[in-house]
Amino acid sequence: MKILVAIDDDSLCQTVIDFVAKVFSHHATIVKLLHVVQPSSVVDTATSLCGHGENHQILEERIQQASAFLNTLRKDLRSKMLPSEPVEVSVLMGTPHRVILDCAEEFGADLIVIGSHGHGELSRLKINSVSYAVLSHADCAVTIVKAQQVFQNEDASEKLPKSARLLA
Amino acid sequence: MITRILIPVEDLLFEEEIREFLIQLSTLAIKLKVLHVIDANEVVLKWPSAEYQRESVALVSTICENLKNYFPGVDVVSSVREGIVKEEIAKEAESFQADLILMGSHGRKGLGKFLLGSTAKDVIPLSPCSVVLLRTQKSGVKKTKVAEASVVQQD
Repeated sequence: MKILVAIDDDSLCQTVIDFVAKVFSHHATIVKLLHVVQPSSVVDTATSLCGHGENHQILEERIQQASAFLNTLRKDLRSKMLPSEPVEVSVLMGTPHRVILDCAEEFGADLIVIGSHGHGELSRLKINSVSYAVLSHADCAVTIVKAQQVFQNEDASEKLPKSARLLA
Repeated sequence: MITRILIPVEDLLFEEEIREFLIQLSTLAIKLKVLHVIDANEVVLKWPSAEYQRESVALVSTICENLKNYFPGVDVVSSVREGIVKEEIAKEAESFQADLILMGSHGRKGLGKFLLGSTAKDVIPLSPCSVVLLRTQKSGVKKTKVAEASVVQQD
């Protein structure tokens, strides 16, 4: 079974990783971790006007940070799954839901795993627009992982590096 | 730890996909609950309630039996509720302490194959746990159709 895990840069990603490790640790599983860097013209132009470097430099930094972040998650996932299970890592650029859907098709994913973006009681009622778009258009099964998972490890999520987006 | 999985069903459409998904799980230490919710609105419009109730119980017990036969030793229970579908699914997930809701992406109504069902969409925000939405397997469906067609030709 091929599983595409779309990772966003928030604390929910640890829950997503734990979910995959717990539910799908299986000898025939191939996992691909994907993070999409979205070029945000407004933020990037503003930052470059403030003298914090060129546009492409910021994007490159974000891509590097995302790759480093995904590699940490990859190590974590591999330690929780069977050693024979390959875990691929991919950082792509573009509009998140489109990139996720294209990547799923190319990868031949049987399942897309994505976070719901719920923190706390109020936003439990919301669903992230990227997750929703993926859900609506995917050809394969989609898992929406909620923050309230029983096997969530809060300590671990605090130790994770801060989001690439926030740092940029 | 036993993983508790709630399976809301509307018909037999996703039976095969549900089975295939369960095969992929890392453990069979699972407890399944098959749920059908009788839509409060639909009862008024189409069916006498008693008849609908009988059909619903028959549906969940059929799915239950099939799952039991396919996964011997796995604890499978069933339940029929009546009310607003999304809310009843969420309530059942809470009382069953489900770790996962496993459901098809659409029911009988709507453009099915192309669109996400409204119930599926509405369950996600209300659900206390993660939700897996299954899609019908396009190639699988085609294969069975081709097979049936060829049988007819031979006759």
